[in-house]
Amino acid sequence: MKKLFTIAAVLLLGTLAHAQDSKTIYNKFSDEKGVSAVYISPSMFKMIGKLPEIEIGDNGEKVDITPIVNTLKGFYLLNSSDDGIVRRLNNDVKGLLDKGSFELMMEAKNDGETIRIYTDGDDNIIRSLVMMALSGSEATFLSMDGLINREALEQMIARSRR
Amino acid sequence: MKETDKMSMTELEAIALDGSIHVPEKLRDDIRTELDTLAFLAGEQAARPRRMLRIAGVAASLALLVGIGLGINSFRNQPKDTFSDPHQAYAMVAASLSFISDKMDESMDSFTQETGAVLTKTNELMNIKN
Repeated sequence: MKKLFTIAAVLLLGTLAHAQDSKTIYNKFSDEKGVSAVYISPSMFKMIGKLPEIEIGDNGEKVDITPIVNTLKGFYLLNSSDDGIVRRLNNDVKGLLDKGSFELMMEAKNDGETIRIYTDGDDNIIRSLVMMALSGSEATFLSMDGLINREALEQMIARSRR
Repeated sequence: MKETDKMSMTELEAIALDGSIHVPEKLRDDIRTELDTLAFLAGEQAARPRRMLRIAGVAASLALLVGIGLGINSFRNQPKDTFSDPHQAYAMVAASLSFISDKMDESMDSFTQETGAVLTKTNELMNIKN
């Protein structure tokens, strides 16, 4: 009986601990005034299936991103220029990054714009990618969940930079 | 006692039914107490698994209710898809990945320019010194 209660408690705590995720942040801010929001569900990713290659990057090179897209389970994007929202969004994203096992993948600073990309996963698989871009009073939060092949993602980014 | 051990069940039954044989009152009470105790213990043993089953049933029902509650909550909190056309969704993901790579590109360009400026300055200083 003790075992049963322990298992139940662990499951419940696990569920509660997972509460602060990208979806929670999206749900909190997406309906606020002054926020642009985009959500793509797992079912939509299933529908995307196999689509032809599309252009990516400024050089017009055709890059097939389906290997990445097919592994995605959720896509969340929030953008706002409202000072209050930006401040609260930034705090919530910090909370999400602190609670999880995210690692800073990249930081880029250019003309007062700061972009940080964090990943949660291991050497081969990225389970969650979070990007936070702050430029003046504007903030963009982007999160992609799934089982993204790290090498495929890095190669795709590298190819588009050629 | 040895004699009774050797007797068959039929013989023992015949003796038990023989009303002429007097059974001591104390022995009768002892046998009754013994039988009552055995009956009580048998009842206890039978009730224990039933109680465990009842507790397990309650626990399972609670777990089911919590599960349903969490499921409904999760369903309620499920955001609505922004796009109904998968092509548009695909384009959005592609644009986002492109945005990330562009920013990396800009950052690298900026880094290269800054490094170049430092190298130029160093060369100038070296030339002045020479």
